[in-house]
Amino acid sequence: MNATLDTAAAFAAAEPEKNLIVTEALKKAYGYGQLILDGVDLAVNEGEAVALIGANGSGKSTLLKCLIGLHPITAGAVSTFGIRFEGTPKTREKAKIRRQVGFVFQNHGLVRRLSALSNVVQGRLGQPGGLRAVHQAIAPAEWREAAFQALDEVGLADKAGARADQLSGGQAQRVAIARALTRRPRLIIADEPAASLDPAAGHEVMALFRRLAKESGITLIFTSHDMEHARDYSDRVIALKNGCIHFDRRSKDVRDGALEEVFRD
Amino acid sequence: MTEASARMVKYAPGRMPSLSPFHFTMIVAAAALVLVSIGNVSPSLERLSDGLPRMANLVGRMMPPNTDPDFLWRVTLRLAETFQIAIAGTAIGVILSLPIAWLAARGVTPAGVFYWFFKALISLFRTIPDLIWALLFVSAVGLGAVAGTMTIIVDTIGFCGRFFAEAMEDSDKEPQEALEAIGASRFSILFGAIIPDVMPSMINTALFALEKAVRSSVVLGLVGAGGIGQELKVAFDLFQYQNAATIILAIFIIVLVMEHITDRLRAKLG
Ligand SMILES: Nc1ncnc2c1ncn2[C@@H]1O[C@H](COP(=O)(O)OP(=O)(O)OP(=O)(O)O)[C@@H](O)[C@H]1O
Ligand SMILES: [Mg+2]
Repeated sequence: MNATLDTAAAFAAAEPEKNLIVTEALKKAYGYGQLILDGVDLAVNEGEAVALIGANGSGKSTLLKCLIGLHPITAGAVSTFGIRFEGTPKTREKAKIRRQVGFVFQNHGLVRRLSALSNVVQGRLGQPGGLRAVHQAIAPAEWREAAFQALDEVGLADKAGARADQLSGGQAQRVAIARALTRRPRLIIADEPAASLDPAAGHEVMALFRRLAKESGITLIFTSHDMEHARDYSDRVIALKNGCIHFDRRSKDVRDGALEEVFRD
Repeated sequence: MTEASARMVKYAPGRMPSLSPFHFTMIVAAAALVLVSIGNVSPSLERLSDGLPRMANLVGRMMPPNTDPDFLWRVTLRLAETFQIAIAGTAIGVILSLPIAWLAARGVTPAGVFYWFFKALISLFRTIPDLIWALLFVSAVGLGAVAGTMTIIVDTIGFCGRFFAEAMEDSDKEPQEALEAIGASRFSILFGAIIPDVMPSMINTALFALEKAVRSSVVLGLVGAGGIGQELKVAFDLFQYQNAATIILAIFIIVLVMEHITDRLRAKLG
């Protein structure tokens, strides 16, 4: 292997035709505040599982949101699924991007008073004809079945009728994963999906994530404060520090010393 | 000063502060206002001693309440009309409140910075008393139940619009963000996340609105907007105090029954 291909970044950049996400000198500040991201260059290939690490406030969540135009970017450009935008994507482009994305948050973000099945069906919102996905009772039969299958895949078929606020944290997070999967996304973005879970549930959820994404060829980008998760459930680890990419390596090449450095001032 | 008392001065919450001249003046002024008001408009002792026997006399002339079957039937029909005004007005009002509250709810509204316009509209509906709305609608559409129903609609929007909007503003934001992130429209976020979240509070508010509507629909007739109030006004105008007694009893019973029903519903749905 060529020495310049030593880092995962160079590896992804070497195959531009496979790139699912590219950022070019991405900068981001909220309002007139300081730059949270100060020139991030990133390329992620289709089918990769990428872990994003960094100290609190280093801009991980911000970066994830910028990738799908949830926050306007201050300078530079992002292209997701080959749709390139500066600032904010136009409404049509935004819809086109988000249609192919599944998003999983730290605190599941389920509608508490609806059943698990309804919550999973809601993963279809944003797709054409999505208004009927507000509740399982009025959703098209096909969507309802797909939602049930997704619940089955995460091992919660028997909880389909349970209200979201009656599920444990781990179960709720698995429902959120099912909601992301049911729309058959090309990309799943997960912001600390295991942070509110106990160690066993955390590993379970991450392993499930990794397996389902691999099986369906879905690209996965997740953030984590758990270095074991970051290394074990990804192909590649990207570390953010001071608004820039501190390192970008294959997971198997990441050494403990390198991780500690990310969190040191 | 001992060490303990020094620490106390430092950490304990303060005592009642001594009054500044400004505060003292304000308190005296407020007390004067209350006393002058009482002197001007509340019943004096002699007015009371004059009034009480007359009150007793009036109650005496009300007895026994009129139980003539023809009259009772007329009262029943008027009561039914009163109920219909309350139910139709509340139903339409609640339905109209939903979109208006959505537009007025800060952080949720699809109207952007113009949410205040809808907030102001709701305030306008709420702050003008129902009898004044009734006078306006009687002038606009004529005497009768339609004016009453329109009054209840406006009143309900003022009441439900405010509390629906507040509930929506306080609703759980995480699911809304999660759905926004996958491209859900504001409209589907309303039906998929916001309404399921605020449903219990909305039902509660709607039941209070119904209770309130029954009470106000009773008096709307006094200004000619239909319902039992109209009959009551006629009875007093023609000095038919026994009729008035029957009507007042009927109103008492109907409001009590209504409160009982809504209480039961609330307990069941809560
Ligand atoms: N909506 C916002 N408005 C203003 N500032 C924000 C906003 N969101 C985040 N920030 C700021 O941006 C910086 C980065 O925040 P971000 O949430 O991206 O960090 P993070 O790496 O995800 O942190 P954590 O590990 O705690 O989740 C922080 O200083 C935060 O205060
Ligand atoms: Mg974060």
